[in-house]
Amino acid sequence: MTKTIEVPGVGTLPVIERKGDTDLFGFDSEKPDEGTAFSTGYIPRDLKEQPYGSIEYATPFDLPSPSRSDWPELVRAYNAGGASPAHHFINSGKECSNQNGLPYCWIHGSVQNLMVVRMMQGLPYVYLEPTSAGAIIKRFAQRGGNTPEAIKHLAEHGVCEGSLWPPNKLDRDLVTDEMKENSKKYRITEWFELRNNSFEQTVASLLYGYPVTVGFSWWGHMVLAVGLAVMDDGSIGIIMLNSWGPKWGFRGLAVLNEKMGTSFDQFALRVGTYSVVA
Amino acid sequence: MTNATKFKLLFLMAIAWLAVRGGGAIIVDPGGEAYIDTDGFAVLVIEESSERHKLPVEQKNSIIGTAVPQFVAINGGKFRRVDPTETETLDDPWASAVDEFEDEGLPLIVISNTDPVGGYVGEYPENDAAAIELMEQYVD
Repeated sequence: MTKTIEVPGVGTLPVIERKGDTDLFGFDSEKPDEGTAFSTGYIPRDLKEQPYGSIEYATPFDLPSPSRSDWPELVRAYNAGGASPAHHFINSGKECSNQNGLPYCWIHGSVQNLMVVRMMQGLPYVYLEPTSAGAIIKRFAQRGGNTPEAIKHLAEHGVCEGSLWPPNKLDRDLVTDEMKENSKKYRITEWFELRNNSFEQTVASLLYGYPVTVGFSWWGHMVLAVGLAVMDDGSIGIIMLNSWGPKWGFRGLAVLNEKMGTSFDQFALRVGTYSVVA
Repeated sequence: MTNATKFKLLFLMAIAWLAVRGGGAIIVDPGGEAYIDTDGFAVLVIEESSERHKLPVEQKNSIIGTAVPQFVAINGGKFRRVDPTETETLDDPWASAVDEFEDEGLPLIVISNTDPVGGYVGEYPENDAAAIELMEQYVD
């Protein structure tokens, strides 16, 4: 039985406290029609090759982090006010993406970040197909990756609407002039790079309203951090949005405690382009 | 005081009362225009999103939260929250409003309605309740 926690304005979310939470990690392994279990694809970056602060299009997160002793009060006010990206996602009534077997979590976590920020900006909902960027970055191979690769492509080329690229399709013929022009409307312009393994910066970023694409070495998976929860013991957990379809967790959402939710690679999105017209 | 002077004074007081209370019309403070060139009710929040940490918690939570956009949606309106320096692909009516008001001091709320005509530009209210109370004055 998976433990749950009630997050005001979001719902009753399952809690991941250890990797053995099989109700969540065994998801759909017996039901391939609902997606493929353990399709992840996160490759932690080598800090010797790409040290903190060296990522193009991402500036180091230099905003103050609230004191830990203030977190519970701040998080309760934040959730009571419906202020988290998770509240915007739930209110939108939209579904999370589903990488469905491709090792493309890194691009799903990044593109879902753009979709959630667009919701927060009040823009009409447009489903953006992560594979339209991931396939080009990986030359149509099924290979894992990381957010820095996604950031450069999303800043320079963008990601196209789902109407121009079927879900999870790896097909070179889909790269057309129309698709390229469409992608330019959906670019990401302002990223923050958070310190590796800094849970304090993850919490601060979310409190300021910036969703964070987070990579977990223990899971080999990147997801999107969209909110915060006060746990039963008064500690703070993060609300994550997965890319395994809406049947996983609560509409794709679950809560990670600090131990599980401390992220090695983490990038927050502040502003996406405001394009409305398809 | 002559009767004519009294009449003028009463007339001016009535005008002032209508301007403040609405009298079936929209409160106009300041200007009384539909500040965003789009039909109907519209609300624009202009903020520097990299400086939210400098705002009081309740005001910050209101700016990033769901209550204001929900109120706008329930009343059939349109909502945008934008950074003034990141408007490259912002559609024209909103971009023009950002250009016009971004120097007024941020965070800013711009309320606009073309039916009935009215509008407001001012500092973003201190919390959700104050923001909704303000917007309620510009919807039917």
